[in-house]
Amino acid sequence: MRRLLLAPFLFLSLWMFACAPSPWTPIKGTYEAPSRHYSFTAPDGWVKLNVNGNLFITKDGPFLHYVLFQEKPLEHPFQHTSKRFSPDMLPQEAAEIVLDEMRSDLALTDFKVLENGPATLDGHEGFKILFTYKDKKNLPVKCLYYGAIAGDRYYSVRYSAAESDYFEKDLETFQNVMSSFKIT
Amino acid sequence: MRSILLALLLSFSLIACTGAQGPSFSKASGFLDDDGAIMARAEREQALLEERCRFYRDPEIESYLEGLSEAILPPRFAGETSFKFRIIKNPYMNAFAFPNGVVYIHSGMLARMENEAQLAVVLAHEMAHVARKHSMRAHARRQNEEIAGSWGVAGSLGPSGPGNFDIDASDGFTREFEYEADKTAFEWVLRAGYDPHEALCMLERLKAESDEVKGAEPFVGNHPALERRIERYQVFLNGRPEKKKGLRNEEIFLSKMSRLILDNASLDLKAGRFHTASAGVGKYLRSSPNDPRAHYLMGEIHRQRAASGDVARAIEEYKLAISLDPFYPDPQEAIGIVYFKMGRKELAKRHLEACLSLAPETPDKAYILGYLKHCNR
Repeated sequence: MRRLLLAPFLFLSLWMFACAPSPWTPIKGTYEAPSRHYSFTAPDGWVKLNVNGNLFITKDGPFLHYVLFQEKPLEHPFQHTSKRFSPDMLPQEAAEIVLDEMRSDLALTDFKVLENGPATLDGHEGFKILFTYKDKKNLPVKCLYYGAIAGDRYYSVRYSAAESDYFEKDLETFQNVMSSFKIT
Repeated sequence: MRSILLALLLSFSLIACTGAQGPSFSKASGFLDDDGAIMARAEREQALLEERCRFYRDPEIESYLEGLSEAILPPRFAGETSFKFRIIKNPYMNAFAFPNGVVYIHSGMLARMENEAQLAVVLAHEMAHVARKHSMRAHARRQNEEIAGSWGVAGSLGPSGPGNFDIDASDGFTREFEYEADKTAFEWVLRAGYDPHEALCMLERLKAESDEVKGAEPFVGNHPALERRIERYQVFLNGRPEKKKGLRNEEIFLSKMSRLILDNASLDLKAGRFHTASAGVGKYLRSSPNDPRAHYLMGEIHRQRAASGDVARAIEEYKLAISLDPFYPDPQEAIGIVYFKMGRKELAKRHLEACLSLAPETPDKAYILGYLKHCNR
């Protein structure tokens, strides 16, 4: 999960987005994940990139903003913390693990949690975290992260953007994507 | 440890990673042929490190490290380099030095030590890399062999992180410098009156850490290299003319480091290293048995690990923390959550309400209000 926060990936993405024959493809209407575990309605004019089962969508390029959809089995390990999810966890406890994963990621500096509270993901009890950090280039990034445990899987959807004007710009679009998100 | 160090490793092109492609400065370019240029480059790399790392600031500990370094450094090296010590907030064991004499030590390294003699060995090892000019010598050798390398970090003791000389066992240079630093450190600590046997304890701990992080770390120190260092160190010990033990100064060390040990245990807990975190808190509690923060942290370790018997132990620790400080909201919240999960709504409600009354604007307020709503149903 957290590796996708890393600047190197963004550099790679940017390179793929800007310089090479683009692996990004248009996305339109209802999108169903290849795993068939979730679906959502894509905003018009956005493009997608699937990396190892993690789906990115963006309009203006991943360096400026993106929405990332992730799902994984509960027992799947994290990269920076050895903690694991378990089916009986409260949303707050799951959020705690996500935060510990990020706080233990030394590539993220100036990590600050602005909000952390309960939320639902397609009706499943989960959590919502609003946080900021500085990436490898010391650029401030703001992220709104939703997560929930549903059955034996963990789902997350996050909207990440350059903190300046970009975060607000597509926040409403993200909220529309969120309300269309279905765990299937 | 991981990503930032990976990034730094890539950036630094460390001495240790001779197989990696460092910046290509040929002899013909004439660039970086002198110590000043090497220092300048090291300082640029150091600036990057300073920008990216999180530091543990404690003037008392920094002053303690400087005082100890002065006691260790033989007079003939004094004045050549002004040593400074910086503590990086990182729960993994490591230490490394830049050629300008700035030594970086992970909080995890300090927290795992038991006494001043172990600290002396670690400091002496890193200072020896600087005093023996290993960075410059490594660079010079590489130039002679027309191998582009780097010189930023002078040396490392730990199993992972920048400049681990043991990383590449095939690298004769690094092994030679590591040997020299170990031997020099041995001589210096012996001369300063410390028990040199304590070095073996540190090397054994490094080996254990190396085994633990194996596979998770791209540049993790390898077990055989540490085994070799332990064997060589044993030879140093056996060759001593005088066999008596030296200073250990356990109490002084622990009194200076106790707060760091507890703070580092929090980092271990975030990293999910429950056993290491528990050992750290346990060590702290031996000198400060009535610290509510430590009991709360011990409770958190058990609650989050959630193995057999852990919930009961967590409750016990939270209760102790509350009894030691009835105005401390964190254990009230934590024990409330435990009771909530157990379905003991009355107890949960009592503690969660206590938390909110003590900290009305706690960041977890929304969660707590949700639990209370459930409890009131």
